[in-house]
Amino acid sequence: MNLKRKNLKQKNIPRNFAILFMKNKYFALLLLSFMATLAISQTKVTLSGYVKDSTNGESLISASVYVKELGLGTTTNLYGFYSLNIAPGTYTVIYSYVGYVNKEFKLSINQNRTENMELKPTQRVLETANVKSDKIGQAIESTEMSSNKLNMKTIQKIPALLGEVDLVRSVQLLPGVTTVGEGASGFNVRGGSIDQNLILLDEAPVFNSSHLFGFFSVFNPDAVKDVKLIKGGIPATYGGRLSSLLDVRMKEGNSKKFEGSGGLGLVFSRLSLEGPLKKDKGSFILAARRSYIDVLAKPFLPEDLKGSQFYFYDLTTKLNYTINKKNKIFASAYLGRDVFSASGIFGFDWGNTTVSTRWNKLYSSRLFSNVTAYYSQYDYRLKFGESDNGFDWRSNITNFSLKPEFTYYPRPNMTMNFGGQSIYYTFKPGTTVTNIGGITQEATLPKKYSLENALYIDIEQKVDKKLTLRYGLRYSNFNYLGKGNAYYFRDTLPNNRKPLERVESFESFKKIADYNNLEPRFSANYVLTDRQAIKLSYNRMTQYLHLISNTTASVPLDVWTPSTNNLPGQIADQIALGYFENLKDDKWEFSVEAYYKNLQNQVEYIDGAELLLNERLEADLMIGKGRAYGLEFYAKKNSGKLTGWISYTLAWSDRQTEGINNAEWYPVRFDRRHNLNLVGIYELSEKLSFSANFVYYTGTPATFPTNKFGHQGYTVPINYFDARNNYRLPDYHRLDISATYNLKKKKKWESNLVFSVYNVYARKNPFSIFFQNNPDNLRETQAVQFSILGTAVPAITYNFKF
Amino acid sequence: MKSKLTIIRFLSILLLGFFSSCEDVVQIDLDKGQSQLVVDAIINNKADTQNIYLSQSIDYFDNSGKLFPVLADTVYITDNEGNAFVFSPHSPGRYVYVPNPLDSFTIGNLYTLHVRAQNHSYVAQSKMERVTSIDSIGQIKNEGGGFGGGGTEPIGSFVYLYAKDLPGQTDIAWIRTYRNGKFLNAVDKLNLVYNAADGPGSPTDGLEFIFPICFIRTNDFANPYLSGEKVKIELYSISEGYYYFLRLAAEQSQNGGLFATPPVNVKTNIEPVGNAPKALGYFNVGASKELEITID
Repeated sequence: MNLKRKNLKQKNIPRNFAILFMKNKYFALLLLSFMATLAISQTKVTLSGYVKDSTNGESLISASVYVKELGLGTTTNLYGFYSLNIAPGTYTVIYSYVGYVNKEFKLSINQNRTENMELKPTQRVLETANVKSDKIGQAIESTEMSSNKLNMKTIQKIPALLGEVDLVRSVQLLPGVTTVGEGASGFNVRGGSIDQNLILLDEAPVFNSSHLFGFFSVFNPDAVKDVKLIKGGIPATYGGRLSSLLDVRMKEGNSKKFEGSGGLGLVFSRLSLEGPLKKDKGSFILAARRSYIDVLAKPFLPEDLKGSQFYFYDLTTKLNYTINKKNKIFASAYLGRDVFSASGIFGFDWGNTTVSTRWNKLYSSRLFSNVTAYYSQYDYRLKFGESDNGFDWRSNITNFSLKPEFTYYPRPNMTMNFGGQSIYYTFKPGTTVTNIGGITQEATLPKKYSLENALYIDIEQKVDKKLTLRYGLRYSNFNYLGKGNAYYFRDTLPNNRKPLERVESFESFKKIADYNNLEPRFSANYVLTDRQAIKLSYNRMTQYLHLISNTTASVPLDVWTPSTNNLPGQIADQIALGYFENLKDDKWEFSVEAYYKNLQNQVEYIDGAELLLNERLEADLMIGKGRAYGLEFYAKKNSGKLTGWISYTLAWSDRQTEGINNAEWYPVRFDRRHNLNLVGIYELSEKLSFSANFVYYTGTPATFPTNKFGHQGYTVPINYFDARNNYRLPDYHRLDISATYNLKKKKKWESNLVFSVYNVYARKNPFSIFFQNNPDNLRETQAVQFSILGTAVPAITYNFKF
Repeated sequence: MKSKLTIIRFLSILLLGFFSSCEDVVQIDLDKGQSQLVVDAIINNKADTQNIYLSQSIDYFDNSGKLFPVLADTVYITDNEGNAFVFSPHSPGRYVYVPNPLDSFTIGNLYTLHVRAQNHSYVAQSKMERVTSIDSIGQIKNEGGGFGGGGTEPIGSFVYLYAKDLPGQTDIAWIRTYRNGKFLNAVDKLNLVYNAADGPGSPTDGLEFIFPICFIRTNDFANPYLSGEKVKIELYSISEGYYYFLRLAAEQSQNGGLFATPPVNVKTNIEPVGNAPKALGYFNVGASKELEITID
């Protein structure tokens, strides 16, 4: 541990930071002057500590700590820590968290005082109704807008495909979030493509969030504590993707007692175990899932594919240990893999691996720090033929990162976050091994390397009772590095492969190209009354990684590529304005938001682009621009027998690229004009609850031909107008229902049965319409609508906990 | 790219079987595009009759089977040595040229096609590239014991093409397989070889043709070759432009499912002269080498 700490502190951080500082004197100056103004000493005392769940010791994120007499408060950070700097005195302090019983204390705080608080979860959703009457609701008070927090308990109640609770599919029910359809990987946020979401699992990025192409996500719900999606007003602490942040925090594991949970479903089974390493000092969680679709699907397969394998598994684990009052460490790891193979014909597997370690240190009751070091990898392998006669292809992206961050609480009305991050990426676009009659030929596309750095400062300030501001600045720097060849291309007509001008080779770590951007972030909350607030936010985001994909749904084979001398970083500016209102003692939350997003340097592809195994990939890419705007309505009922939400989004998302659609704006393939989601959960009794959700989406745009011609016996479709996305598929709508029945508790064994029906009225929702020769009469052409689900899908799942 | 298609087939089966995904033929009211001139001018250096076909593009859903040949005023090819090859009308829309052994098309020459039709002129250029020769065609007998893991292919023979890319430059060829003289033109059997592989991705200059090219796409696994049948494989050199034209054309006609790419227009090399409207189709002059075997 000592050694590691030394490493972190003395070597990497200062060096990277020194480089940044030297290059950006102004930024350094700005940062230092900030620090100076804040360092003025005050005769105040600090109340600080951690807020936890009393049953399992899990720290609570964003729990509220409120000082009644002063009418001010704070919330716990991502590690459950809070700090309030106030004048000495005796105060009534209220600790509260949604779904937990409030605690109220009279505390005399005459010197710095540590109060670690444990809150007890309420037994039933009902009880959370009358939590606080003298305090402004969280949604009203916070500067956060365009963000949604999903409670795991809620996610578990939403009817799920094949009865399997899924995080990403639940996120898709939120306003502003869409997907191109069932089976498509990822999700689209406010007109952003799927690679524009920063998906973090305990701070480590996940490059492909899907299992089985997109039917399920990689997160094991049993191991997840907290999920938050931020679509706008993203604080300066995060960067690197344009459209959203999906922050997934894993459970720390029960630090009080050993417990297990799991489930048996139609598609896969899960088991998770957690318990203390040392009571109240440290704990662990280990969660695993494996699917058995291959076993179940065997009868449906044609003879020649009988020997097929297709399954996925994932393992999630986390350890934490409190060394002393000031130091706490966490280690988390995720390993997941999807395997598809037909013996002797082909094999295909892919997966993510992430490992992150974090070290929380409390320098003082007012300065909290966390240092994260992570490793994250996504890789895949594709194989054809047999070992002595075949083809084998591997590709991956790996990255290492170090991210020191600090939270400073200078005044009761101000919280400051500052820190930085360095990420070193290695891209391996492809190594192919071809075997012909035992003769092996290996071909490797050169690896690409890059280093991304960022420095940020983020300040949350309560100006007065009405106005709260959060403002920050992020400086990002990206270096495309050797060893490697840089290609320089000549300009050509748009939508044509760019001709090569010259190739230049670079030594290891030699800079080929670099990009620097300042990213201002701002959000303001003006409280009109206790129940109403207006919020405004602006953020600029940059993204230096691009997922190269031109298919309707992203394929696991899609390759991530860095910004290079030919491919600048993507930039997005977004402003959002929102009105928030809580009704009936926070029983109802209501919000409406309008947003406008401007996107620069969006990647497009020339017709017939060669995206895989192409050394000169950049010659096939084009740069366009984008815009997205819309209105989001959201109404949520938090308590009572019936809970749930309604969200409606009216949205436009377009791109414009020289050489496509005659250089006119065209809708992106995930553009959906109307998007309605209804989620309802009804608790009939302690034993029985029902839930239902309904979704309605406008059909996605598609390009259809107008004419055709014959060539050498082939029929070739043609769009006379050279139009892109000139049609829309029929609308998508679907109803899912489920019922959860809690079985009798036996000693410690709690269990329930979940019955669900997905796509109740068996609508054949179109995924795509394609054009082909009629297989029965090759002279004729026809349009075929492809639906992924053609029926209702019933399922039953048994969940247990002990 | 081709590998993607195999995966798509596998996935479709998976999806169909497991999620009961389905495909329904639907009626769609498509925009009306204007009809355009289509030039199909694929020329080789054999002593056979060379054909150029002229027609009109038709509405996508026009399944009447009616042909719309275009009558041209002139159709001829010139080369960089000052020779002209005049194509004469044979039947409506078909223009032919019968080479004599002394003046057939020559490797390395640059050819220009001239078409005058419907009061407009069109030109196109193509350079004839070299092509490698076929070393041999092997036969693999399938006794019904199994092949490729499943073991359901009917009894018969499969052929294996042995050929090696010529080193030193990018050579692209269209491998055309004929069964008893009939060209196998199934879209999923379109067999293009870029050096020795599918595409420009992997550096395969000078290597033996790789597995899917020399085997997967030279056989119809549901109908193996039977004893006595004649199998002819032809290697025909094509330009890079024509390679992408063919590949895209084939992709467009089997572009569906989960991982469909946006449909795009194939790029023609037929250039309108002056204010002539845009045309469709392709002009390629290529060298041809072939080998025929009889199945044992």
